[in-house]
Amino acid sequence: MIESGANMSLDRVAFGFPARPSFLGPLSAELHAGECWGVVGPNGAGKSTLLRLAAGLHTPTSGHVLLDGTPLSRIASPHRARSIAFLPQNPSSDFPLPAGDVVLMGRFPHRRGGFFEGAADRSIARSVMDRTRTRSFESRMLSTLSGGEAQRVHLAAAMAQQPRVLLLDEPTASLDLRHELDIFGMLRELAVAEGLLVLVVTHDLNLAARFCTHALLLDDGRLAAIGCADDVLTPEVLAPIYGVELSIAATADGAMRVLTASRISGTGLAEK
Amino acid sequence: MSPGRYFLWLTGCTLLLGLVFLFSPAVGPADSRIGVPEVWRAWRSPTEYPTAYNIAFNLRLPRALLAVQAGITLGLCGGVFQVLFRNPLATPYTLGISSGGSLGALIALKLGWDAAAWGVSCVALSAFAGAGAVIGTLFLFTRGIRRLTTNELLLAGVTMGLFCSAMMMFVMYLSTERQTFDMVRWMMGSIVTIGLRDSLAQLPLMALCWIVLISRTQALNQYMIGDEIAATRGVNIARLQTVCIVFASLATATVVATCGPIGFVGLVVPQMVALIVGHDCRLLLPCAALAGGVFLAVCDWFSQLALGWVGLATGRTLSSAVLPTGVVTAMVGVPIFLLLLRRRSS
Repeated sequence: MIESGANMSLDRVAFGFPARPSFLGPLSAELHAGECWGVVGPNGAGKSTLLRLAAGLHTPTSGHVLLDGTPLSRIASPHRARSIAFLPQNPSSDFPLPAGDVVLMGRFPHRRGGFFEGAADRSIARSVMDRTRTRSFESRMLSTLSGGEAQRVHLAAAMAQQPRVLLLDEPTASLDLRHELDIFGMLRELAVAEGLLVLVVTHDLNLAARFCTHALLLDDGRLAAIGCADDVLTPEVLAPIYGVELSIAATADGAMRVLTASRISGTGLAEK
Repeated sequence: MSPGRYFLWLTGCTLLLGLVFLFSPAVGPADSRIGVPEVWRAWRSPTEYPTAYNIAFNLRLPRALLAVQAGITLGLCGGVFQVLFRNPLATPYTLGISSGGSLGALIALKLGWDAAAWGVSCVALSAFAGAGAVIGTLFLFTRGIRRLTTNELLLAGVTMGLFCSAMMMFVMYLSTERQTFDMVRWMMGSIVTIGLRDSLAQLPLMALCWIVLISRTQALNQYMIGDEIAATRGVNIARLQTVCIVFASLATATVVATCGPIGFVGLVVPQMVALIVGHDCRLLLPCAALAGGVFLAVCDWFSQLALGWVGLATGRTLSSAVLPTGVVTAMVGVPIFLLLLRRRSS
């Protein structure tokens, strides 16, 4: 159903705002199709900025974001939209469109000037709504949905875009436990089984450890750790960055790893 | 949205507009006594009934033509601005176009410029220039701002409007009684034509703006969902905003120049239409345009009939038989708008 993913590489990417000229980077990373990346780090570390750079919403002040070897700045935005889908942190849901229409609008980059959605667009929209469990409120106005329901509709719209790279900024921030697990399970499946490159910003280290294949840890705009999730999401790596003491406990089935923050450590913040 | 639903609504609105247009030669001040049968006879044999033919087809038809054009523009631009500013209170006049246009017209009236050529009067040209000056100033002001939010633009526009209103008072203060009377009359907004050529002079410019705005409906749909999502789906947000503001303002300035600042069409019509057809811009904007044409043409009927009905009721003949159209749109529009507000909040 979904064409295979794309590789993205960050080549000494740096970015800054007028007020903070060297906010992020320079950082380099190789992200491959079929990988599900958890982008983690403390507040203000630059996670959302990194995601926006990858989406082409920001242009790096130096360095390049490359999509399959081509700099993003050299790909026209309508063309780029067929490869990269982006879901911002708090997408607005304050507009009176039915949820089903919002998902169908995700097909926009693929319609290439076509005015009406075709049967193919509809069937894609239906299938992503099934996967995100949003089909039951297809005809309800987005403004009448709960925060978590609206978030899932936006996610479905991003998936309807059938991207090769899926960029999500805290997509489960307002979801309940079951849907959180659901969505993360689906993201992993999109990457591992269907070959997409998925980047997901999250604060939930448990979920990241359980579902992401790789992790990218940012701290104060620089790359603190990068690699397989198992290597990055460990107490030794995380504790100094977050400034809390962490430990690992295995659940009964041994599959899930729990990182517990016991108390704020004396070092960490003070050290930096 | 299915093509069937789209074409059904669009055909319905077009037919309604056609119907209104068809009947407009038969509607006029009550004392003229030219109704459907008279118009039909005059249509069949113009030479036999020259007066009826003249009134129906050289006065009323051009008048309806102008009302329909102005209504289409105001309905469409109101809808575009409400989406663009993500604000249901936005109107085509939100950025101060009506005040700028009025100031231009008032200056022309004050200076006594009364020449006209090819159906375009100096007052209209001056009003157009005034509206253009407001938009030009806004763009100069916003140039160089890296990322302008629509709220800032809205505030800047409202402030420009207030400035122009103050200048209007200044011009009126300097004017004679006769001039002030003309100015107040102009600001009420009315649909007055001298002939067919007169009512078609601004059509090419308006039609260009309609086409440009209607061609942006898909991008506006994405814009409604959010700047960042729309941008990553290939919509150039800054260009979309600029194009919509420039062409909606141009079209609105044309209406202000030819008819004066007719209010409430751009505020009420898009919202009424949205309640019926939904907020998908592909359907909403063309329907709001057509419904705007119907609304203003029907309001213009009332403006011609109202005083006659009052005369019939009170047994007096009222010599000035036509109300300013802007007064009627306000009288019809305000109650409708309040009802809509109740429905929205309940």
